[in-house]
Amino acid sequence: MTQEKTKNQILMTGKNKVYAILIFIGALFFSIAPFLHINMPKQHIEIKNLKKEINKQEKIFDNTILEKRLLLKNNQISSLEFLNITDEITKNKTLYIQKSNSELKNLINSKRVFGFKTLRTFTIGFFVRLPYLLFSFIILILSFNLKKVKYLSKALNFLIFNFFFISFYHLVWFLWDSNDLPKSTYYIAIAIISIIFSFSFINLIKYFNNKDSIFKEKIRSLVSFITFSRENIVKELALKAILNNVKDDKINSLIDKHEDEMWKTLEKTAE
Amino acid sequence: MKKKEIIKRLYRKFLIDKKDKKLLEESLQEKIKKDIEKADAILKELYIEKMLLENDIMNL
Repeated sequence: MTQEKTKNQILMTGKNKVYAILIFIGALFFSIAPFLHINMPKQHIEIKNLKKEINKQEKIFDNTILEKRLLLKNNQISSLEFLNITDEITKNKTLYIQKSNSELKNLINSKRVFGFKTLRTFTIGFFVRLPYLLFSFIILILSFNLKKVKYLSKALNFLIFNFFFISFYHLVWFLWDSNDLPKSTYYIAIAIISIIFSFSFINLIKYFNNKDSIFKEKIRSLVSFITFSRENIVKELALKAILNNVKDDKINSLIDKHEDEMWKTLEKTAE
Repeated sequence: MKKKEIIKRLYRKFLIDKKDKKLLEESLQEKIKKDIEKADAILKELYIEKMLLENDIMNL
């Protein structure tokens, strides 16, 4: 029996270590995940090249018109010729723009990642939201089994702080216009604000949580008082009465009554 | 709710002391019964000793 108990304790400790390692890895991943998009290109290379090509062609059309204007200025072509040529060029330019815009639209649509224009926009949207969902799951699982295990609570604190920091960082970044400050100052300020917010929020929640612990402590001390009274007062009095020839039946019925009342109260407390 | 279930819930919900848990698990009537048996055994021994001493005194 004792061996079995020890084995179970070892298994539990091993399980908690796995949880702790997973939480640490998860915390690191979730802190990095919202920044994964930073080095990703803002546009797909093919789209970027096509846009460049379109701009280049438009410039060629414009430059041809300018050249013709110069020829007109130098009287090398007549006004009528100039008008005919520019009309033709403008017509070609309009057709080209229409065609290339449609081509560009098709290319953008073919390169979409889960409906997002680029992998970057998808990464931003996905990895900012994913941690919250997974975090909720982790907290839910931990809340079923969590006991005061030293390394587990440390890992959990690390995870919670990282999550709050990232959440606040993104909220502040989203709500605060970057034009207000120089770029580096802007990001440092966001980081400082996020740290302050995270510490304040975590401590505020801990305060409310401790209120609950105080209540539980009061229940614990009342249960202790009940067991103390039962063992040291009720039992001793009953024994002395029986040994002094007070009728057994009377004592037994009183003890039963006391037990019934005690279990009724404990049942209400345990519900 | 059974007594075992009540104790289990109190232990899980309020983390009551293991000592209190153990004390609640034991029946008070049973404990009193055991203590009376012990007291009876002691009294019997004392009675035998008393009788033996009285016998010794008589022989003197």
